[in-house]
Amino acid sequence: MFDLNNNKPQTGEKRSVYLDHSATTPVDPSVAEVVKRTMLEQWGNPSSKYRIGNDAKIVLERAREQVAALINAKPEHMFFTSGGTEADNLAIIGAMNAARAAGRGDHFITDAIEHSAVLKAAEALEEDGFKVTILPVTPDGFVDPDTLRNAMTDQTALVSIMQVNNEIGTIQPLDQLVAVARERGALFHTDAVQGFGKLPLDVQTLPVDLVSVSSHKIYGPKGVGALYIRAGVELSSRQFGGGQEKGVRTGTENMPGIAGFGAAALLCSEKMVDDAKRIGELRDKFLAWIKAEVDGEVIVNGGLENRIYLNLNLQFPGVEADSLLLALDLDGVAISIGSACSSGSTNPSHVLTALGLNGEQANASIRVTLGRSNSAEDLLYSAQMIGKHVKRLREMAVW
Amino acid sequence: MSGGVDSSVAAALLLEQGYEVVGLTLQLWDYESAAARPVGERGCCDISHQMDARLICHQLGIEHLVLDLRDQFTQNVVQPYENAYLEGRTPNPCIACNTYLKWGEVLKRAPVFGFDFIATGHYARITHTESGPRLEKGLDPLKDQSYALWQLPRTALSMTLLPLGEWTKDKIREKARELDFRTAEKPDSQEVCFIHGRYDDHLRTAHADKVNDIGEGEIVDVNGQKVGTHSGFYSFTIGQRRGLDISDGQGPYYVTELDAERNRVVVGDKSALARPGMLVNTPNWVSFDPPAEPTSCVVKIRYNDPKGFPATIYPERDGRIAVVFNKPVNAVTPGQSAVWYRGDAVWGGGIIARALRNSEVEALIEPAVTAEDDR
Repeated sequence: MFDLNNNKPQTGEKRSVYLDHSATTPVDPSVAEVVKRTMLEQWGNPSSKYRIGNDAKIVLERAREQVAALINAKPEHMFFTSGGTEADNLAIIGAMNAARAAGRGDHFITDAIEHSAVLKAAEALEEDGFKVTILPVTPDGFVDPDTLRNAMTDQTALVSIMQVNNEIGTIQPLDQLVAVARERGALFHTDAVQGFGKLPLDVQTLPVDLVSVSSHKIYGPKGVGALYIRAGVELSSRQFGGGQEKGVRTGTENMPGIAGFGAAALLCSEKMVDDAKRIGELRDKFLAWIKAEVDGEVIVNGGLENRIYLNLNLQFPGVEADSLLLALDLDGVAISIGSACSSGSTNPSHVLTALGLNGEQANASIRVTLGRSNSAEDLLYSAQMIGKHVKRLREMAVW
Repeated sequence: MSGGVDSSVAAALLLEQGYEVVGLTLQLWDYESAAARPVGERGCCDISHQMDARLICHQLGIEHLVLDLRDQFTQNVVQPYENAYLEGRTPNPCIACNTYLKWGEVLKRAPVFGFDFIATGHYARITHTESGPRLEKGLDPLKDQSYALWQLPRTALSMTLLPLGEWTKDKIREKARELDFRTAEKPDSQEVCFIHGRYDDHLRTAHADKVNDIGEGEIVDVNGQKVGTHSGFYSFTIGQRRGLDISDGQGPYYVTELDAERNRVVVGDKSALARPGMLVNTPNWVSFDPPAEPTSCVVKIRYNDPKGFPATIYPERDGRIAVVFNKPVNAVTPGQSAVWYRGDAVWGGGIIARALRNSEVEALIEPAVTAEDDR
């Protein structure tokens, strides 16, 4: 009666291709082994004083070294959290509260394309009586150091600007931005969740005070992250209890997660250079293939210069990106629109809006982020599927 | 799939019939704003319903997609709903949602997703005849939902599957229990999914300016004599008896008319509710062509209208039709849908513009007299 298979790909077999590595990454099997071992063998409480506890303590401190090593920090300056969001909240709210209590100012500066973990923390500060400035970004998605300089006041206690944007992948000029903050004596926090383990960041040469990182973006388990706190920086705690993590983040440690995070960080330090080269080349090919497969305009949102090697944010004018996502999903290709936070919520991306895109342009945009498991064949297939669906969506009749 | 029992079982039945099925849930509302309400008061907009749909699809081993249609819902359902009340009409938002969202927006995307048919959990049937498909009543007389589908274009019927049409609600729940569906005992959705509490409170929040402009007004009897005051005509519906602030001891009074222009609520005794006919806007002929001459049929004028009323419909003129009831009918309500049936088949439907006066009906019955007006 009708062909049940007419929505299957015309060329080759249906594949399963994951192109959303900025949302999360598959756990590396060797990392999963470490997690399992921690649960089954080193299951003690690291605060206990007998040997079972000591074994766990060793796992904890080794992981701390492995995570710290990726940003060339001293292990004692890394504090484990439940993830990037908690690290961001702890850094921003903790540093601002400590600054106000010590009379060092009550002004916080961040920018319009931060992750909501930062922007919502800024809203919470504002409700709590702090002054907050949200800096605009350039149409390419960068914070201009002069814009920051003009926003700084004597009351500015903390500046928070991300290392790499999660939607458009732009790499902020942190060295210049940190220098501007230091000129006026403000602390500097960076949300490094997207760049950690992928791009070098050295807290010995970059005088940043607070750095948030996360495990599940680097092929580690979910539910664990860390905050780097430079020596001498004061934070007021957000959580009260038994005093673990030197009281900065108290509560029995998520040991399987932390051990996995350490293992994932170690893998990154081995693979960072190769990943960047191989995935970066694939990303460039992928863009060329998409342009070849798609009839009509393909726009790259944000600059390709100074963008992390794994990210593409593409606009197909006239195409409803939400439907493109669903159609690609049926063909086995996972991409995203905006960030993956809060299930199903897809308001026009605040990042794209901050670049000056209107709602229609933002809603015609998708994000693809590549990772270790992607092959050239996967990407060619994905480009073909994108081409097919973009064509159909552009032809979509008004009913 | 709304996450309710009907669409859950509809998906299961189609799989049993051998179709390849994809579950599709429409996101119509902002879950964050729903999450701000206390747990248990979040209505259909709660993300847990989307999760129920997803879990049912997982149980059935089929894909599940969530299509974001929040803007389209606001534009085609919520705003017309609010405007109707503020203009003195009583809307059927579920019908607009069926027409513009569930069918309109989904069928538009069908070629993109590779869908051949759209299926829903409505209790109605589509029969295929030589002269084309027909929309017919569901076989469960207590659940028949064909009324809510009058506005579908005839072309949509051939792309529509209604697997529950021959089932009763009880049997569907039984089937859901057999399938061990988490949705088996979920209560039927009630009222309007995006309204929590009273709709007039919603209007006061969403349209504070317009509501302030409208302000208070007079309640008058059918002769135009003031008998009380009201705090906004949009709070009333035709036929309503309760909540009228009239203390002249002459009651009970019923609302017989909402006069938005003069900000008046007209009341009368029960006999004043009866109307001999009505004008119906934007007719859609879902199963059969429009009549060339006055033709008898049965007309439903509200959702919970079990049998409908025998009536004569007149040929379409200027995009509207006149309907004359065999016997006067109470509470003809502008804004509500009128749906006319031939036997079990939905012939067509439209939106009630206004009741006809006796003089207009008499003029209609005289040949070659027109009675159109644009009020």
